[in-house]
Order: sequence, then C-alpha cells, then structure tokens
Amino acid sequence: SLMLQYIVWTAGLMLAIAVGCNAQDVFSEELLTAWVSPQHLLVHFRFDQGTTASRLHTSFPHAIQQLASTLRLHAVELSLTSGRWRYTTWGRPLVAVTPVGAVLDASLRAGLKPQALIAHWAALVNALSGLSCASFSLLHDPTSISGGGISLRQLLAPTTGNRSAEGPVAGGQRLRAMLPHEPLCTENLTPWLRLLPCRDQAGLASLLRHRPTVFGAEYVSLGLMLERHATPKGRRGVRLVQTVTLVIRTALKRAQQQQQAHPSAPGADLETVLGARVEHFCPPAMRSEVLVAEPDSPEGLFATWRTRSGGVCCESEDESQNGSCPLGDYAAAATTGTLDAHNTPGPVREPSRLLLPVMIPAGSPGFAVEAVSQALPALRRYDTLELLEVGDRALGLQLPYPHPQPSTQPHIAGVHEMRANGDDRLAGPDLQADRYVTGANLLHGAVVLRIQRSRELRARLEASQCTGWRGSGGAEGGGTCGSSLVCINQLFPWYVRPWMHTLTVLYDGQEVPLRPHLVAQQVRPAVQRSSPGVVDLCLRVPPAVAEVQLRVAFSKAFLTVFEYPPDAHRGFDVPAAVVSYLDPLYAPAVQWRVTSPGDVSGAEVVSSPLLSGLSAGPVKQVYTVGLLVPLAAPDFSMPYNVICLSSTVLAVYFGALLNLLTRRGCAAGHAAPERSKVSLGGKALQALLMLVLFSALALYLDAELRQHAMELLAKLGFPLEFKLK
Amino acid sequence: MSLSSGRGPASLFIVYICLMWIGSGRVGITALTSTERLTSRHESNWAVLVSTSRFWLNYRHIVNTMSIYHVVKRLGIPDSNIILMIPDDMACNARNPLPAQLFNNESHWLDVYGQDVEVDYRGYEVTVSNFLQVLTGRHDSNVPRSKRLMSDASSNVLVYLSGHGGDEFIKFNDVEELLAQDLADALAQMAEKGRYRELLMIVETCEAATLLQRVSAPDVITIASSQKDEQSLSFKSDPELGMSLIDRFTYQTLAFFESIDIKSAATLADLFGTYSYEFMQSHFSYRMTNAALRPKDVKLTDFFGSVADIRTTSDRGPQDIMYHGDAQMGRYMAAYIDEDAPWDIDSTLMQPDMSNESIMMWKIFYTAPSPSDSGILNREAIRAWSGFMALCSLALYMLIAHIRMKGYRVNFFCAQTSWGLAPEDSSLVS
Repeated sequence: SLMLQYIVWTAGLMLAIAVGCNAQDVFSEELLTAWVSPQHLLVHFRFDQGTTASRLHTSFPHAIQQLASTLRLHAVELSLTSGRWRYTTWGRPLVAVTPVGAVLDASLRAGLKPQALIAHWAALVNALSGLSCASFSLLHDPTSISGGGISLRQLLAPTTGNRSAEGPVAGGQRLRAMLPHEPLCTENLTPWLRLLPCRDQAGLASLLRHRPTVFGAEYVSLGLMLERHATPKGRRGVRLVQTVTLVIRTALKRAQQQQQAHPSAPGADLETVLGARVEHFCPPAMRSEVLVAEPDSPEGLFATWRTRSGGVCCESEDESQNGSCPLGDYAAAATTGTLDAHNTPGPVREPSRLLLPVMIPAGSPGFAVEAVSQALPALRRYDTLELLEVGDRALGLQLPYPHPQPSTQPHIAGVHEMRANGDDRLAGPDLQADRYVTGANLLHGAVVLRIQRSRELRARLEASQCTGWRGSGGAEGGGTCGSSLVCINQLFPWYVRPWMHTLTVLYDGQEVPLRPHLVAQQVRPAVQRSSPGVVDLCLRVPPAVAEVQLRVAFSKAFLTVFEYPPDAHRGFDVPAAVVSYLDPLYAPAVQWRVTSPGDVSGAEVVSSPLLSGLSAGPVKQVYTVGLLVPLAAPDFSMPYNVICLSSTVLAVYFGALLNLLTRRGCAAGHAAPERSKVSLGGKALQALLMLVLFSALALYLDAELRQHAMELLAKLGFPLEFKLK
Repeated sequence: MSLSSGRGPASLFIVYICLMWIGSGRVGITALTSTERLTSRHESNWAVLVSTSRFWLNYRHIVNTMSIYHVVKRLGIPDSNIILMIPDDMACNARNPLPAQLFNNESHWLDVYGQDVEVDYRGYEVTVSNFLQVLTGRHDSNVPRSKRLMSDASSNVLVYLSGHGGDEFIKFNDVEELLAQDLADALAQMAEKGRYRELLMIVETCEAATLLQRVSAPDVITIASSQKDEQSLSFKSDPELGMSLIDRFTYQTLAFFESIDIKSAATLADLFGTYSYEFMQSHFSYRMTNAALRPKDVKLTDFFGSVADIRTTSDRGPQDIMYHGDAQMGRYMAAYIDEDAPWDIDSTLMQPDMSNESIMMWKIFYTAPSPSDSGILNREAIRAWSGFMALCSLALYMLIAHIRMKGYRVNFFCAQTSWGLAPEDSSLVS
C-alpha cells in the first residue's frame, strides 16, 4: 500500500507539473512604418510578451514577473521621450504620443492604506529605476506623485449608479509622476533591450542596433507597459508591452528625384534608413511582422477592391465564399504613379498582403461592410521570416514613396486637392494645444493654455451632433452631445501656485462664464513641499468654437537654498498638460481585412496587438510641450559661501568682544552696584582670552593662515625644525 | 564586589569566560591586519566611475569617465560590477551633432560611449551623499542591487573621479563639494567593513593630489593627475563640437590601455612611464598606503580587468578552511568554540580595531616622503597646537565666567526676575 501511495503521489506530482507546463511564455513582435511627411518616416516597434507561468520562464523576463507578483498592481506604464511630436507638419499621430521626459503611471489595487501605497510606490520606482537606468529615485518622495485625474473615457462610460467626477477612480488607485527633464539615451535602451528574448541580436529589435540613428531621430519614445491579467481559464498572467517610436528624418529627397527621373531605380530601404539589418529571426517569436502604411488613401484601394470583387463576379454570398473571384492587380489600378513605383522592383520578393481598415456598423458586427475608416491608412503586411528567407540575411524591404506634397493627413482623401487650391486652414492638425507663461515677474505670472480645433474636426463634430456616436455625457449636458467635451489635465508643482479664482475661459476670444460649461472638475491644491497640485477640468465646447483659451494666474514660491537644483537658472519645469477630446472619425470599431480575392465581407480578418492598438477608440489625447517657469534664484557662487562663513565668524567675534567691553552688570541700580563693576584687569584678561581663542580657531581651520604664520615665525627667527621622532 | 563575595566560584567562572571572550576577540583583531588582507584571494573586480560635472561645457569630464568605463568594460568587468555616475546627458544632448556617441579625439574613430551603457546614477542623483553611500554601502533598503557596490574583502575596487576641484575638494554637480577628509573617512570605513581587498583611486581634477592627501586607509593606491597649485588641462579641441574633448591625463591613460588586453602583464610602473610633464602640463603623483608595495608589483589588470576565479563563501565551514590552510583559521576556530559571541560581530562592531589603526599611522609617516613633507608636518603640528590653544582658552574663559557667576549670584537672580521669569517675586510685582 505504501508503494501504491507513492505511485499515486508521484503521478499526482507529474500531473501537476504537466498542468504547470501548460503555462507558457508568448512573444510577438511587430513593426509599423509610415511616412508622416515627405522627409519624415515614422517607425514604431511593438514587442508583446505574456506569460502565465509563475516561474521557470523560457523567454519572459523574470525580473518583470517578480515585480508584477510581489507588488499589488494592476498596470504600470512608463514612457521616456525626447523630442516632441510636431502636429503641424506630421499630422495626427498613428500611435500614442507621449510627452517629453519620463512619465510613470501606475494603477495599484484598491484597498491599500496610504502608507502601504507609498511603500508600494517606492518599491516600484526603485525597481523601475534599476530596469530603465532613469533617475527615478527623484520620484521617491511623494512631492512628485499625483493621483490620476478624470479620465474622459470613464466619464463617458455609461454608468447606471451615481457617477461623481470628484470621486477616486474606480477599481484601483492611480498614481502618476512626471520628470519633464529626464534625458533619453543609450543607457535607457540597454536595459530595456535586455527584457526582450533576443535583445537586439535577432528579430526586429536588431533594427535598433545603430544607436546614432535611433537617438538622432527627431522624436524618440521608449515605452514599457506591464499589466496583470486573468486569463479566461482563471490563470493569472502577466503582460509586458514594449514600444519604441521613432520619427526619422531621411535624406530621401535626392533619391526621390532620382526615382522620378528613372522610375525603375530602387527606392528607400527600411534597413538603410535605420542603418541596421535584421540578420536572424528571433526563434521565440510567435508573430513577427512588418506593416508598411500605404501613402494613398484607403478609400481608393477599397473602391477598387469592391468593384473587382463585388462588381464583377461576387453577386451572391456563395460565390464570394468560394473565393473564386480574382482581385488582380488592385494596387496598380487604384493608384496613379506613386504606388506602382514600389510595385515594380521585384514583385516576387513581396510576400505581402494588403490590409484595409473596414468599419463595422454598430448594429451588425462582421457583416454588411459599408466603408473603410478614413482615420487609418491601408497597411501592407509582411512576414519577417518570409522576408528573411528571400533576402540574404536582410529584410530587403522597399518602402513606398511618400506623397511629394507636404501633407499632414496623407491618408485622407481630398486634403491634397484642397491644399493645392490654396486652402491653408486645413494644413493644421485636428487639435493643437499651446501653453505659455505671461509676465516677467519673479513673484507672479500667468499661464495660458490655448486649444485650437481645425475646421475639419469641427465639421465632423457638427455632423456627429445628432446622428453620430453619442456618449453618455450628452444626457447630463442637457441635450448636448458628449462629443463636444474637452478635458484638460494640468499638474502644478508646489512652487507654482495657481489662483483658481482667476481662471478665465475664452471661447474664440470671448470670455464665457465657467460654470455652465463645466461638466466635471477635480482640483486638488498642492501641499507645500509634499505634493503637487492637480487641476482637471472637463468643458463642454460647442462644435462651432475654434479656439479655447484658459488663463490662470499663479504666484511663485521661494525655495530654501537646498531645494534648488544645480541648474536653477535654467528655470523650473512644469509638466506637460494633457488635452483629451473626442474625434468622431475614430468612433466606429474597425476590423482589418485582407484584400484577398473574394468578397469584402467574407475577407479574412486579421488581428494583432499593434493593429488593435491603432484603432483604439475615439478618445484622443494631445500633450503640450514642456514649460519652464523662472523662479527667483540666489547667487550660488563659491565666494558667497566663503563670505557668509567668514563674516559670520567675524560678527561673532566682534559681537562678543563688544559685549564684553561695554556691558555692565545687569540691573545696575537694583542690588550691589559695587559688585557689578568688573575690574579693568579682568576685562583685559577676558579680551585677551577672546583674542587667543579666535586666533587659535582661525589657525586651526585655515591651512594657508598656518602657512603664513609659519613663514612669519621663520622670518622672526623662531626655530621651526622640530620633527616627529 | 557583592557579586564576588556572594558566590565566589560562579563569579570566577564568569571572569574566566570574559577573559576567554576577550582573548578570542584579540585573535580576530590580529588576523585583520593589512598584511593578512593582502593574502586573501582576489575574487572579484568592482569599479566606481564618477564624473561630477554638469553642463555641456564640461563635455570632457563625462568623456574622461566614459573612457575609463570603456577600458574596464573592454577588459571584462561586467555592467553589474560597475557603478557609473554621470551627472548630465552629453551623448544625446541637443547640442551634440553626433548623437549617442562620445569621442576622445577629433578623428572620431573611438566612440567611448559605445553600444551598451548602463548608467546607475545620473542627473541630479549624482550627489556627494550618494557617492559616499556607494562607497560605504550605507544605502536605503529600497535601493536596487544595480546601484550598490557589493564588494567584499576579496574584491579589487577601482574608483575614478573626474571634475572640477581645488585645494582638498572636488565639486559635485556644481552645487556641493566632496572634501578630502570625507573621502578619507569613507575609505577608512570601507577598510573597516572589509569592502575591498585593494583599492585603486584615480582622481583627475585640478589640484587632485590635495583631495587624496588625507587618505590613510590600508591597501589603497591613489593616483592624482596634478599637484597643489597645478591645473589638470584639457586636450583635443574639436571644431565640430566646438570645445575640448578630454583631459590630458585621461587621454594618456586611455591611450595606454588601448594597447593592452586582459592577458597583459603591464604594471602601474609601465603606465607611469608614459606620463610626462611635457604632454600633461602637470605633475602626476601616486601614493601607496601599503609600504611594501611598489608600482612595478601592481598589475593593471588586477584593477581594470576582471577575474573569473570565483568562489562562494556562503557554505565555507571550518573543515574547508583547514584543508585550504586559511590564514584566518584562528577566527573561525574562535567562532566555533565561542558560540555566544560570533566572531564577526565581535571583531568588527564590539571592538574597534586599534592596533590596525596605529600600524597605519606609522606607515603613513614613513612611506615615500615628498619634498615638502617636513613643512606638512610642521603645519600639522601648528594645527594641533592651535586647536589645543583654542580649547584651553575656551576652558579658561568658561572657568572665569563660572567664577564670576558664583561671585554675583544676587546679580544673576536679578537678571532672571527682570526678564519676568519669576513672577512670584512679590517685590517686583508690587
């Protein structure tokens, strides 16, 4: 029976191990490139890792797993950025854009006591500073931590219960901190790459190997997102998302001119632009894909596809299911001139598929395809492994040519024509946010936040007013649609103290009362030397309004001398403000469909983390640039200290001497006046002692004085040749 | 007294135990002298590389430190054993036309920044207190392991400092100063805590020798780029960057190390042979607190390279030591016999190591006397005497004041009442 028991236990253990082995690590890598202007190429890397194992990882970084399992956190988002997204020339970003410097955003599980919360934060900050080489230890003290503000998404989410905007965010505690002046360089990328299973030795990450190109880019952003998940089977999992976003200025102009002269000349190569090659495939990758945005509008491509598939032979559902309808050379038919340039060099080498963002009407998902989304470009999708098989230890991926005109929204039909007609108002981005300080006073100032909406966006908002996507905010606003909401989040360090009663709001230059337009607010004043102030405002801005201005006056605090940073005269950073708004263009859900031969509605649907991230919903965020506020700073130079110290000593000396020589006994008239008189000899003795005391002190402290004294003594003939035996 | 009279044999036993305990402590102390330390195995290498200057105009100080980082990394010390402190971002600075690269030469062929860099302390984190904490190991419990110097008595430690300095100080981040005495105290503390086997400290600042002149910890080799009243000059002006790239002393050091590899048998004497006043415009100097050591005995790869000969010490038992003939066997034996007082607490915490200190004091006085040595001694003597005088006069002054206070007791009380401290004094109230 003992033997039997043993066997049963062993079998049970084996079973447990076998079950445990089901838990595994998953790695997926994707790359998206798109032209954001004729000279600027956006390259966005996204690496997703997930694990359900609690230990014994094959590819998942153990440090991250440990961080996620020891701390009670939901999600952590860290971004390090240098440069800024230039909305005016690059248009609206395809991927999420982060403000300059470092941003750490953590949401911890609900129910943590304040002290435990601070301890969790400290542990997290320390772990991340080790994992990213950023100086996060400066975020230690809670002076930089702010709670998460109002999220527009949550404000719009239909809730049945009482929804108070002032309350804490449901389902956890959000903590947020920013370091606007944090640099981003190779030292941040090195530990970041260590979290990848192949580092930068294989796979798509090896495109980051030429550091001067990466950090010479005009916009560089390094992201790290850590999330805890419960899988459908109830197992606990951890997800790690790492992103790199680069906007690289390429010297493509000459090549482009060459290409126009000789259409068959090879164009820009992705690996040439990045200065590095992908030589090997990263074996743990379950997905390794390159997505190249088509510079042409997806509508044209879609129209061609639909006429090819629907118009020619796909009259009925059955035929489309068979897939017997050849699409043919859709791309060449759809575009004029620019697209066939990249189709011509070696069609054999292009194992690509064209993906189109197809909108799903809210009522019937998956069927009855109406149109493609105008917000997203068509994507050409390549598999890295297939490219590597064809290429000689390189991807050999030719990029399409950008539109020759400088365009802000290259994938929106009609923009170029209107630009050509001289309509410059369309050149701007959908929404632009500027922020600046007024007043040159060292005590007071004012900050102005200006939000400008383009005519396009206003037209879309107008159109969506009644028919389009409606948020639940509309019900509260008494008939106004939720789509006209604009939310502002601004963090003020404690040494910049805004006076909220001076807050004025201007719509198109006209001052408007704040209350009727305010949908939600959350204002947390700063606590001196311990926490920053947070201002969250959600305003209802009618679609007709083109420009919103918010002005608030502030006064500047005085710092103690040890609170000044080494570069105090540079000014003090005020973190970027966040403006979130809704764009109806992004409202419909989007599916990515392959333009394979066949009916539109029956086409294969492709999904991946990056693709689903591209169509993330209608809430858009715009960050302003950083702001520098000059504070009154003292003269920190070295003589300052010396003068202070020596004059203090002298003052003490003379004060004591004066006191000694002039003071009589206290209350001379009261009692024993004859005793209060000090003899002259006693005073002289005290003065002498004082002199000896201070000169000896000076000799003790000052080496040079000793030197001088020694020289003087030597001149006077004193023997100074005593030595230690 | 009552104890011994009450229970005689028991107290005698206690005294005996005490004597045994003290005796075992003495064993520990004698085993900790500096000669013993040197015979301990060399098992790991650590490097603390610090630049203390901020701002773009101090590009060369960052390049100095990154040059040494380049050397130690090329010779095999891993990033986990390097504590790098860089106060400003030069490589990705907006003013740098060559992003993510730092060069020591206008020919731009050697990028000392490299492909993989791990900076442990950067920006405002580079402070005097953080530097001293790294050396002494007195960190907050939250500080990650990557930011700690986790060396032990079998580690050779290289410390490199570059920045703006003066007579007995070096500026950190343009706001604070590290003083020579603080540095000497930190090194002495490291020696006490057994945080290094040998330590090589290189300082490249103006008047660097003054920063190191107070160091008295055992087994420390210090190298200074310049003497008192001398400047440490810059080198290699780059027209593209518009300023000097590196300092002369470090340029020469880097040039020397570029020619050797990990198998090299080059010694400190070889390195010193390449330094010349004609090139550096300053006199370098070295000092060794271990008198027996000579520059030609010190292999450079002992500090700049990495040893792979690693042995764990966690499961070392007394038997192991007997087999290997460890010189510290006496301490282990004492620990084995006397369970109540573990030898480590006993010898390091409970009893300060005075014998070691006195030996060191003698060593300092009798190693490599420099020309101005007698002057220093005289100045020190004057200092000691003036301090003594200050104390004496202060004591005398207080004595006189005390006598006077006693003499005028009435007067003293009247002073109190006039300040209203004694309202119960009816004569004043009325």
